[in-house]
Amino acid sequence: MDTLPLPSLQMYTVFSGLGLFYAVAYVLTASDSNFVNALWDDAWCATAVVNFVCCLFFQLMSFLHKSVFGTLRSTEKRHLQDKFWNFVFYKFIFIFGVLNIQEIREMLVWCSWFALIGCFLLTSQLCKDRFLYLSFSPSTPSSSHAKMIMFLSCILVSCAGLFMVCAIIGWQFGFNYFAFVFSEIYVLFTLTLLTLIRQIIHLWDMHHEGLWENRNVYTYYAEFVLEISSLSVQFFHHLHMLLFANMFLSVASLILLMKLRFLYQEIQHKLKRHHNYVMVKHTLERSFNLVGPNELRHIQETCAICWEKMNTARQLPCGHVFHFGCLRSWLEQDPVCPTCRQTLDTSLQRNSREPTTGDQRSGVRTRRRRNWLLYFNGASIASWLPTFSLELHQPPPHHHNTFNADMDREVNHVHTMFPDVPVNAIIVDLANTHSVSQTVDNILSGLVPSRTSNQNTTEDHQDDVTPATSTSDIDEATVRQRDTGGKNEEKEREEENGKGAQSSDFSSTDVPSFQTRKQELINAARKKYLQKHSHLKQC
Amino acid sequence: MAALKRLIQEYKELTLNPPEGIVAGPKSDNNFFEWEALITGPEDSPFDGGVFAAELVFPQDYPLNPPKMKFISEIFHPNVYLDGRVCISILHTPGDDPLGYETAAERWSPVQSIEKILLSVVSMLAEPNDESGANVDASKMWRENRDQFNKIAAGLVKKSLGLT
Repeated sequence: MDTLPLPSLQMYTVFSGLGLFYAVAYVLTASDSNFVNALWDDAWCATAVVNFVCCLFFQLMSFLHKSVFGTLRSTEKRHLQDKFWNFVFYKFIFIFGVLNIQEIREMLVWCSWFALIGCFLLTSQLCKDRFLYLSFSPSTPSSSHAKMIMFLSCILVSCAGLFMVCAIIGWQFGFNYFAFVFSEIYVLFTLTLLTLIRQIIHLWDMHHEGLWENRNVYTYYAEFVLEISSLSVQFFHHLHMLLFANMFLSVASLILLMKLRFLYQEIQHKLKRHHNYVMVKHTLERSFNLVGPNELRHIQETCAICWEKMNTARQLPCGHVFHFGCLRSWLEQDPVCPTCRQTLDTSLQRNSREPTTGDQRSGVRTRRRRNWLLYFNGASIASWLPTFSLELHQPPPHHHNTFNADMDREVNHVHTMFPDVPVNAIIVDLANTHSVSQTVDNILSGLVPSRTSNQNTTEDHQDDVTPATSTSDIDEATVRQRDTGGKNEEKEREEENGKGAQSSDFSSTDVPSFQTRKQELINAARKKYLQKHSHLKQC
Repeated sequence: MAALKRLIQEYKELTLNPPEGIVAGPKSDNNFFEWEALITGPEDSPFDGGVFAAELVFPQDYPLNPPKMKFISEIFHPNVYLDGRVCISILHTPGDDPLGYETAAERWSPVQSIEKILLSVVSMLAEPNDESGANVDASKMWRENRDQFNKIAAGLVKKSLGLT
């Protein structure tokens, strides 16, 4: 994809602007009749104008994305690009393969329509990706969620407008065109609505203790209905295109057939999954007892699957109790008790072996999508499903470049390993060896004078941080340096964690941060190791 | 998003009552689905005293499916693939059984937890299962040349502490 010489948006804008400029100049010099009519009469000028309008659409979209979402992450960018070229590819086939348009002005009308729909689709896709990213963290500021919800609602409202346009088109040009336009809008509509629903449920979930027991059912049905309807609409859309084109032996029809096959499989898979879902649900309701809050208090309080408190639960024959929803989603996958693995009702057996979660399948597909050759095999559908390929790695913190900072870091490094050794001794040795490992070797082999160590084993981390020792200038200076170093590190960590980092539920308690605890563990292990080995040496 | 809530709960639990020699938590607050864990090699094992870093990546339908675990620190062990992936039964779903030696009872179920996984890894470090040949060389050496194995392990312990 990256190797293809595709123009960037800036380049495209520049060329569109130039095209418009020449078109206008040409019309102004060449004819003296009505300006607008002249512009439209000349095919090339009309193209230039429409092209510029499309370009404006994309610029506006890109501006909106930047202002609402900030800089896009690399995965989002890649998804957008994929989706965009995929969209262009299919619309190209639609215009030249299906409608077989000869008249250039008709093509221009379609192009501007697709540019509009494309902008909305890409925005919706971006919202979806961004929501997935936001939902990975409990500490997302609510303002980013609010922005997204606003954005999605705007798209939904525009969808309503587009449906009206669609009705007018149907009225004027007949059923075929109505169907073509309608399916586009419907796909956009479902994609947006689904993201919005997911987000609202997520927000509700994060702001409420405990579990909303019926939540699973509602989410499931909302997703199921929207996804199935969108897939069916697309299926019929492609079938319609195939029949409309009325030429079955062409590259376009081949591509359409491939897409149809893919859509069919997808629908089949969804229906199978739903069948399984309904069956498990019925079996659960039929054969397992409902346990009320009073009895639950005596057995256990939290559900072992989601770790939330239970108000009502279902009891398996083996006596273990779980939330209805949690149990259902597990049994869809494997009909055994999660706790004791006793096999359950035989009617639940099988039919459930194949992967029931869309996630795994889409994981495979997203990996495949990077390959341009297998590309048109329906990426527009795959993007419906949650993706796993999010890259959430933060770039590593910048390293200090200057010698002093390097030296300071090395001194710190060695000192945390060997708190017994005075800092100035480390500095002297490091200045000689220029290498941490060499200095460490020297210390280990006893070449560097160490303070006679008789501290008790309960010596804690505090001592490493502030060695309460000699008042020599060097020592103090390095301690100060080290303090600032520590602060820098802390700052970096904060940056890494994002601005809302402190909102994890228990950060207010006295528990040291994860990074500190990691460091403590390593230091303790080092100390232990060294003690043990020096002991061995003495023996 | 039941997964996120459960991960938060587990992090809370692991922070407030950490098991001996284990520290685990999300790599960053922006993503609770990628964790880093430090595991201390158990006493009287070849890996005694080493601190090994591993990363865990959780699926979105956690706890229905197990996380993927991979050592970041270099490790030489019969049950760890060369790229660091850990091969223990608790990390396998009932459906898949790559090496065909486990019973279903040992595999993943939603009542398992991160803590249990990490404790299983600790006991795996202490007692390798040489029937599963994730690392064939290590398996062979563990069976036939225990001294050599211990020597390599001791080197890795030193390396894991940053002391080489």
